[in-house]
Amino acid sequence: MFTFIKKIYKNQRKDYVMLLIILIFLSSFEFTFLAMYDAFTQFNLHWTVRSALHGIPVLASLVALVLNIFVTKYFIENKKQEFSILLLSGRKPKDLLIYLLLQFLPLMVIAYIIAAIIGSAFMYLINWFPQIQNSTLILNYSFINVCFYSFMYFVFAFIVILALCAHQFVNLDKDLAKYLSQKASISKPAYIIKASAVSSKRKIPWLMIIFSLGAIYLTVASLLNLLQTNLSTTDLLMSFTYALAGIFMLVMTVIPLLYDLLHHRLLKHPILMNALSSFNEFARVMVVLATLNMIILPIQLFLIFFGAKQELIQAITLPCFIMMIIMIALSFILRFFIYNQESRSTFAKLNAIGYSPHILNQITLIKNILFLFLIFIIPLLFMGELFYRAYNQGLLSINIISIMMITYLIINCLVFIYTCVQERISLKEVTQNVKYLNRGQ
Amino acid sequence: MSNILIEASNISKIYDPDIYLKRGKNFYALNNVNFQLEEGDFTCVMGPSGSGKSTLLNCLSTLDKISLGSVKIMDTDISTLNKDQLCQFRYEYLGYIFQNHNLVPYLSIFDNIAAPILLANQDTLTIKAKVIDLAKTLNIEKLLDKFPSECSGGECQRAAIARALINDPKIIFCDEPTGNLDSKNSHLVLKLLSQLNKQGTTILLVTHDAMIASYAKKMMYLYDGGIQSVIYRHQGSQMDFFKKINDITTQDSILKQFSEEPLEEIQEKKEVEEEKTQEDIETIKIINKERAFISRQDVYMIIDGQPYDKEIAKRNTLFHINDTHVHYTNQRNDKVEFDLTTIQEVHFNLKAQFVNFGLFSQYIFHPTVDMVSPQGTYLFKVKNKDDFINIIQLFHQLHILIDDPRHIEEAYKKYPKDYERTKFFQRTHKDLIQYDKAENINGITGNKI
Repeated sequence: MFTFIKKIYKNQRKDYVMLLIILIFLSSFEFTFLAMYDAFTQFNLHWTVRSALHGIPVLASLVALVLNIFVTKYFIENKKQEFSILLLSGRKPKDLLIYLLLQFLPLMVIAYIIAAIIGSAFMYLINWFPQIQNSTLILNYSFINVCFYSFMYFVFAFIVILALCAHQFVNLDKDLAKYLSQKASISKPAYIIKASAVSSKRKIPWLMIIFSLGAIYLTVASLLNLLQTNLSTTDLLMSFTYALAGIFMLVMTVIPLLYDLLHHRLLKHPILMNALSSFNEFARVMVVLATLNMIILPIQLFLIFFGAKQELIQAITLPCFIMMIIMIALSFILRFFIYNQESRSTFAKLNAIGYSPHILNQITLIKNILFLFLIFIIPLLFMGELFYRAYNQGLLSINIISIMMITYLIINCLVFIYTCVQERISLKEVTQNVKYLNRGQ
Repeated sequence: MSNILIEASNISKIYDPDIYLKRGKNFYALNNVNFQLEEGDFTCVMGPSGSGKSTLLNCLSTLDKISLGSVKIMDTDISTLNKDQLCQFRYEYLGYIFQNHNLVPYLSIFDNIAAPILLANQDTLTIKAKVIDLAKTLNIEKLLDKFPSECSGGECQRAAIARALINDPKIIFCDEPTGNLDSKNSHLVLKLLSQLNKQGTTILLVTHDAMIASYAKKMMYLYDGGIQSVIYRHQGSQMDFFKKINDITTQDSILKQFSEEPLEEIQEKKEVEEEKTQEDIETIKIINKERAFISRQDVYMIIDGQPYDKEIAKRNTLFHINDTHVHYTNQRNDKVEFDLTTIQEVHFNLKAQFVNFGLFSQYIFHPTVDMVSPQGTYLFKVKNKDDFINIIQLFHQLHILIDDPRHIEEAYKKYPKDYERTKFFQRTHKDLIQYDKAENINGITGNKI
């Protein structure tokens, strides 16, 4: 088993290095968030303020934990064929767990050990930044306490990963033939067709239309509501929750419905049709990250309204926000890396039936722009509204707000550029190599 | 003369290539293959695993690039087309059916079938009518609103066939189209393909199943990247053709190599096989006499017994001259034999070829030889270098009248070295090296379709 693992490490070195780097970053951020939480426990604050201030790093550390699990899970899910070969050669699902333990435990341990060092360095920077602005605020934390929290997170993450994998192994064991054949690579449909493309069978999906209209109403109404200046905190919270739910529904249900209803017209626009369809697929694949960016990130910002002192809020919001964006971007890159490999055969298929690289480029570009707009830009509008209120209430300074918004824009633009460049490289490779169409691939 | 849709001359596909410095593995997946597909043909390519069947199909269908030789589809050299032109070409003329259906996972079955036709900006109602019509023919009309992941392998394959047919392509390329289907569905698909062929669609099918191959009109057996044998169905029944195919496929040389039969028996069988092959050659010669005159063929002319360039011989069709007897294999892989004494006149000309090597780009020249006989004119492009002078001298010895308006013979005598001769041709035959006149190997120019 050790030899097998060694060979797998050697042959997939690039993938493992990428995973290790992402795990190190995520764990370092997790360590930093936990250190912030530990530092805040030492302040003497009113319980409402304390809970809000604790909430910001705790929520961020939980996001780091979820992303840690998410990243490892996707990496392991991509190894279905490797596991099925082991099962085929006579190993039991229990052996596979040991195999997984041997393969991923060292990686996670290394990541957490390095994370403790990098996390401490981040905390030093976080304390150093207010000092150069002549602030007296210092976040003192106990290294041992934070290591303990971090260890608990590690244990929890590992147990969840093992549980998820155990479920996967049992499924593999039950239907080994399916995973060894090509069917395993076939994904679930991106959405369910409600209105048939065949005119004689066509039914109007009224329920979906009502649901989607509700989603649009929620988004628009709550956005307008948020623009009012004299909102109470409860109203603000309600409007904000509705707005986030509205955006999520907009992406997940309204676009597939539009595709469904306008199918007849879309047939005249192959590029748009393919772009929308591929967007539906992409949104389904990236649903966890989209949710984090559209819902959790603004919620984290919302918590600042329960805080009291600008100094404390600024000290915690800025690093938490930036680290959250970096975490989401890193996880996005890893998930996209896997998605991009899967989508190559799709490009090859379309290319074989006459879609030129130019058309395919346009399809991917529209898909990416739509994703950027819905998942990154619209949430930014809501966050902008929150920033404006925070500025009015004296919770955040204009400098901090500018840094946060610029960081958000830069990182997401970089992710967008990375996505476009990678897809362009894939397209080039796919059109030059017939292997992506062959069964042997 | 029949209409040739695909013409492949001496094509080779080399993996890990480094022909000149010989540093790579230089694995020949296809080695010097000649191929012709005429309008209305239903040709099947068979061969053991790794023989190069799919590679040949991919190269002929523009999906893969060849390493050596040339592929012309409807008189267009595909090496002259850029990626966009190739896509347009595929979209207009070619249809594909793969073994693993290759449907786009995020498009419904309806959209998958309609995907190629959408590029034509046709009326929506026409698109819908076409898709539904094809879906009914293939019995998948109930699946149109489903996604590939919700359908069985057979259903997906039928959807893929519908997608291949939606454009009414001139040529359909099928790579193991029934590999994932049960026998009932396989026959359904093959009957459909036969029906399409009767209506005029040209089909090139790759399979390793003799039953499937028996639906075709012609079977080519590929072995280790080269064409080993070709058989025709002619007017015979499907069952007879099936038996013929089985005979060929069971003569696999690996079986022979590892057979435990005594050598004598093998020798006897070999003699019987040779007799049979001779019969086949005779049949081809009588029935397809006109095939020797179909189009210009690249050959390397060698006089048996005299030294020749083995590297050129490896990459070209050999034109053997034994005394006055000539034999070679034409693009359709038929064996052609004739006697040089029957040749009344020979016309010489030149063809220029642009070889794009960046800074080292240059033109190379090949003589063309038209041999006029009472049966017709044999057309060749000769790949010989300095040794072509020996061939010219042989024509003189046999008192064959030579028409040489470009004074090629004189050039060969004056400049026996290839480099000097090329420079001379470049100076004296500028009409051949004008833009768009010269052929190109890894081309930058070419006529748009």
